[in-house]
Amino acid sequence: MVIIGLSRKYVFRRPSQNLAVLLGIFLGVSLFIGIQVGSDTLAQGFGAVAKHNLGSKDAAITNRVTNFFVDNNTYTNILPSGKNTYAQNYLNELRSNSTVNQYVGSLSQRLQFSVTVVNDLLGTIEISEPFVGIPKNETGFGDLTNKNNQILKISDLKPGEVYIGRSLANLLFAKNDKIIGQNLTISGSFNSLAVPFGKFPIPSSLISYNKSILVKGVFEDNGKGKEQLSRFIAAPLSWVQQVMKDALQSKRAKSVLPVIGYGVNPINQIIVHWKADVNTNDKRTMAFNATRDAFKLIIGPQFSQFYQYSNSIVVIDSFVKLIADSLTLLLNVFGSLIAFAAVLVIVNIQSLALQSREKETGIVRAIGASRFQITMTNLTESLFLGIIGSAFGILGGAAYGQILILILSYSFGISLTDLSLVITTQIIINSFIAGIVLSQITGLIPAINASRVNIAEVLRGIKPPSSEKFGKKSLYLGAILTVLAIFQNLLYQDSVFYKGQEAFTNFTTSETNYLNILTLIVGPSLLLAYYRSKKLGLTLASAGLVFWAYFNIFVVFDWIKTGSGGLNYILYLMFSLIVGTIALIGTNLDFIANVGEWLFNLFARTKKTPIRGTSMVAFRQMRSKKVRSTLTFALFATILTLNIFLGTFSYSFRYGFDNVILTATSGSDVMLLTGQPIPNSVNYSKQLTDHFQTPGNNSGLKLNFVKGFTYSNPTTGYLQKNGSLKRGGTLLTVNSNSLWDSKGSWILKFNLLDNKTGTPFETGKNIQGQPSANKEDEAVWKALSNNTYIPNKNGTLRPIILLNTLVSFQGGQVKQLKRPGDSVWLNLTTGGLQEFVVGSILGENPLNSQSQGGGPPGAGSGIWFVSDQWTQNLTAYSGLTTSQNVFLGQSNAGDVRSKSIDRLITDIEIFSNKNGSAFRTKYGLFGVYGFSVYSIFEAQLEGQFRFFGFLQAFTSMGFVVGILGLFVVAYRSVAERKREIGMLRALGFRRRDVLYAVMLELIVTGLIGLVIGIINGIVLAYGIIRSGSGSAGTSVQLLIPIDILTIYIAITLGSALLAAVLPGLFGSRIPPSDALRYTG
Amino acid sequence: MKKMLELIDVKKVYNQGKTNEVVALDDISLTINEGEMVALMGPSGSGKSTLLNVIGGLTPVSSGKIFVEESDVTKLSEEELAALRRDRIGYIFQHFNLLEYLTAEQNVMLPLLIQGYSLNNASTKATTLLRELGLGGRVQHFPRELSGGQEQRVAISRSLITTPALILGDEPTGDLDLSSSEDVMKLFRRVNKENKQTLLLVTHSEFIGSLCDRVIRIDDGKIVENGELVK
Ligand SMILES: Nc1ncnc2c1ncn2[C@@H]1O[C@H](COP(=O)(O)OP(=O)(O)OP(=O)(O)O)[C@@H](O)[C@H]1O
Ligand SMILES: [Mg+2]
Repeated sequence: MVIIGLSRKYVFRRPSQNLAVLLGIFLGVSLFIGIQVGSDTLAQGFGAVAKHNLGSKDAAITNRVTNFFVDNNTYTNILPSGKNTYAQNYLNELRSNSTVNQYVGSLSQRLQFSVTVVNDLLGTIEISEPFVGIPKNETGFGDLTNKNNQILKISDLKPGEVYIGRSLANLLFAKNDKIIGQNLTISGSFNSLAVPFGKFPIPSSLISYNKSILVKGVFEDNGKGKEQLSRFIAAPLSWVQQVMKDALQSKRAKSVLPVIGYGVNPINQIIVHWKADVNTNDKRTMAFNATRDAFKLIIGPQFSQFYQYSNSIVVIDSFVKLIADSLTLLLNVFGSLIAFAAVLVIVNIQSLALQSREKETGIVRAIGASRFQITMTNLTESLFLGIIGSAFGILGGAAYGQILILILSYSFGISLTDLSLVITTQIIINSFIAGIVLSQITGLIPAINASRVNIAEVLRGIKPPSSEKFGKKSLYLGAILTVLAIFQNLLYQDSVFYKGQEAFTNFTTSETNYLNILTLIVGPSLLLAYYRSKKLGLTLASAGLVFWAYFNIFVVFDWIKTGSGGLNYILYLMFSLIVGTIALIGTNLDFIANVGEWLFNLFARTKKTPIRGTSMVAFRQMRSKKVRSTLTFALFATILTLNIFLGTFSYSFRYGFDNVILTATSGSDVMLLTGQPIPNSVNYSKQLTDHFQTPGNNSGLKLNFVKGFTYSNPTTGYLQKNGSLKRGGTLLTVNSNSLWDSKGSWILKFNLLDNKTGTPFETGKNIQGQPSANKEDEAVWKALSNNTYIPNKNGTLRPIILLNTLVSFQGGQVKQLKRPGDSVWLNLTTGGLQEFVVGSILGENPLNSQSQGGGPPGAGSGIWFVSDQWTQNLTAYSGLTTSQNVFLGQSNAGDVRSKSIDRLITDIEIFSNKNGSAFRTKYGLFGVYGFSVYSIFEAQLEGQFRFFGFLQAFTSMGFVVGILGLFVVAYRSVAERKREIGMLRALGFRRRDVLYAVMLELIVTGLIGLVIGIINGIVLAYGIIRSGSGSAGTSVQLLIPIDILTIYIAITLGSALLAAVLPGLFGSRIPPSDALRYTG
Repeated sequence: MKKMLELIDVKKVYNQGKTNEVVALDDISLTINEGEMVALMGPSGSGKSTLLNVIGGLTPVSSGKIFVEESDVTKLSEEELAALRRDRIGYIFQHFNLLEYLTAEQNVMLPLLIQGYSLNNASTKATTLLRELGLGGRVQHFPRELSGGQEQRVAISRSLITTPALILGDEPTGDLDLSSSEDVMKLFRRVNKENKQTLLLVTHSEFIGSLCDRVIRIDDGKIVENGELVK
């Protein structure tokens, strides 16, 4: 009763102190909620986008074996006899099935393929756009609507007429162009069926088509138009089927190859839409399973061999959950640091509040209250505050979450309408728990300390100095840690004590050793703190932490040769650095303050100035209030470390790649792909270079050269002689014409990764002696283009092949599967396998980066270079032997980043694709699609950069918390010092002298945090860049973002200044006599 | 004889117009000449501390005029008041005298530093004075390491260090035993004689009062005796 009575009294009797505690808890809880709300919302946002892509597709049946559903005749040998398996018939059977009808609202058929689409008038082109055939009277899947909200009916379209999606229209048409009524040309190709037709298998062959289409309407990104985010062409199913049939027909007319098997009305998808009451994932899964069984019965036992039935919505939901979970993890990791900062604020404020009533505590103790009662009183009070703070924290968290949503929508391009604030009851419960836990944890130590006051001394108004040594707890903890450390290090077989430097050659063992040594540093230091002095122990422990982290970043990271690290190593380093530097500076704050005062007095040497008095007050105050000052600079150090780390890291990743790009692209800045292979007879390269001897209209640039390469069809390579260990890939052929210009000089420099470290290949001359990597590269490429044979492991000469890095993951470790000198095997058209010997491993090059369509350059696998001569013999090139479909060129821009290159590409597209252009008139439309080589890298980095941007924005919120916290701390600390300020004024301090003293103290404190933050942040960024394994990571340079740093410095010092000025002004304005009477 | 301090009809009302209004000083007029050492006595709550505060401009008066030497304290700006306190007045407080994070020496140095003294000069002067007051062995000690009497003596040193023309002491000997009190009074008398410094000392002790040139008694904010009984 006493406890509650007293604590209630405190809460209401000390509005300003408690307001501060309340604010602290409020901030902490807000952060906590914000993180949760942010990641929940993000998950929902990703989910919405992914579902957008589906349109209103709940589940879908697609075919597995071929591109299209097949008919009964084709698979007579495979499918159960007597069943008519035309897709339409399946559909009819499905529609009349009672199980299906129980769950399915509607079923719809689709024929969809990817086309290259060209705006004939402008020459603009897009590749791989879905061309979707939709039944004329389809119901149940929503409508396509135009921007006036009118329904665009598929049944209104005549053959050759289409609707196009808004986002595709934006790409193909200039801003103010008339779209409706314009003609576009679509082109593309598909494979005819390879059919096991009795004893005579019919091989697949490539069938091309080319059609003019008329745009009758533009549909928006809603309803059915949501599918593919409105980036597709919609046409009547019957006409899309006609396009396909015509293409087959023309091929049949031209050659004797019988093309059969697609049935009269081919489709390649059946889309399933559940009934309205199938609306949860559980129900969807049930419906899915039931209908799958029904389908199986209808189609027969081969169902899963030929068809794939995917539970699309549920799959997306679980995928989204996965993304959300990993994102939440990441946010929590960074959030925990921010939360750490928030805890610093609250502890700071809590201890201030309790300190200020020490005297009162002394009195209460003097009249007989027990220590337990004092502790409980204070804890009960902070419980009140925790509850109130949490309630407000929910509001704050919602606001924070809302801000995160804005940043998210900006960073990831998710429309705001898809992101609504998700606040679940769970979050609300969590927030209360968080608030209460925060208030109790942060209040516990100050409360216990408060209960321990020396009654006599506090009543006298003075504080006893804290003890020189740590208490028993330090002894126990130190002993436990020391023993633990010894065991850890002894029991670990890859321990540094057994292996020496070898222990650090692998990422995983380095990480474990890092932690083991860390314990070995901290444990004995704590013992020292107990037996000798607290200061010595703490200094040793913290200096050890800092040194060990630095040693790892600057030295150990050089030793690590294998494996790659997750976030953990960096996290350990981050925590060691933050905790280490804070503890080191905090323990030795008196030294720092003395140096500061000395320096300050050096600068203020002029005779008549009161500044020496001011600086003495400021610096002495700082060192006497060690804990408070440490908490304050720790706040900044933590938040700045995090922010500057992310800032530097993402900036380096963004711009530190320039050197990589320049190496990879030196020589070429333009890349062209074609929708259809261009026959060698056309000699497109020559047409282009001849034409662009005179600069293009838009760009004013000329083309120095264009070189063609031939992509194969997707194929399979084998890592073992017997045809096992398959790897999918695409072959790219090189001939001497691809690599050397007309004068015979080497122009395209692809980066080869490790022909220097691998087994050198024999080309007749030893390239090991060559000094420059470029010369070495040249030798390898020369060998390739000349189809040079090099020795395999047995010494037999075999043709050379260049591989992308082929890796496997074993137990979390990356293993490189093939090294120079190893062999791989490829299918020959004559049957059998051809052995190739790996000449070198490819690093970054624009060709393979493009083909991966994502990920950092060089990270993927799948492009293998072989000599042009092999196009005749390898199955991968069947049907493609004399055509070229990727071109690399060089403009005279001189800078790969030049924006005019984009305009040159427009010029090239007009030249190649525009209706009526000399080239198209003469040779036809191949659908040439271009982009600047630099944009490949840019596009790949864009995603990363956005993500870093989001993380940075997220952590900047921590910065805001820090600043708010600082305000509260500064305000409280000035309020606590009222009496002192009154005395200073009585001694003759002017108002502004008081202000200067307060400002000086806070700015110096802020400065300490700033310096720690900058150094830690940059060192950590350097660390993560160096830890990045693989080609991409190691090539990035550390770049220090001066402007970002300047902003942080300005904000930190500015806010420290502001946080000092306001309370300082307030303090200096209290009449001195009132201030002198203030008793806290 | 030169006037050091003159109060004319000084009135100080706390919480004016509110229910808890207190008239702490009620039309006080008095004059203290240069070189006088005056004791201010009166029962608790009579307004002694308030009187010292208004003289130093630590709190504004409700009405009346206060002259310290030639300047009217009630008309001075904050800046001028700070200069007056820094250069002309030395304060000794009733409670809470020293900055706990500064050593005895640094506490005494502070008034000199804000006058613009160098650290060395200030330190020399402060140590000399502390030694004179018998605190030679306590120069580097923090307030928490001093006894109440020692603390008070450090506070006195701090008020004397700038040789102010006027010293205002609020029970400067309150925490001291009899012999220490006598020592302090001797010191006060010495500076009073040597430097013609004027002292106004609040005390509850008739003995201390008897050591001064004149005793002013106030009760309920009014002067009841000024050297002789007020009629
Ligand atoms: N800031 C203030 N606000 C309201 N009342 C005040 C204030 N300061 C002093 N008083 C009142 O003014 C009167 C005079 O107070 P003062 O401190 O001057 O007395 P004092 O003579 O110094 O007493 P003591 O010998 O106990 O120190 C008292 O009644 C006191 O309650
Ligand atoms: Mg008093």
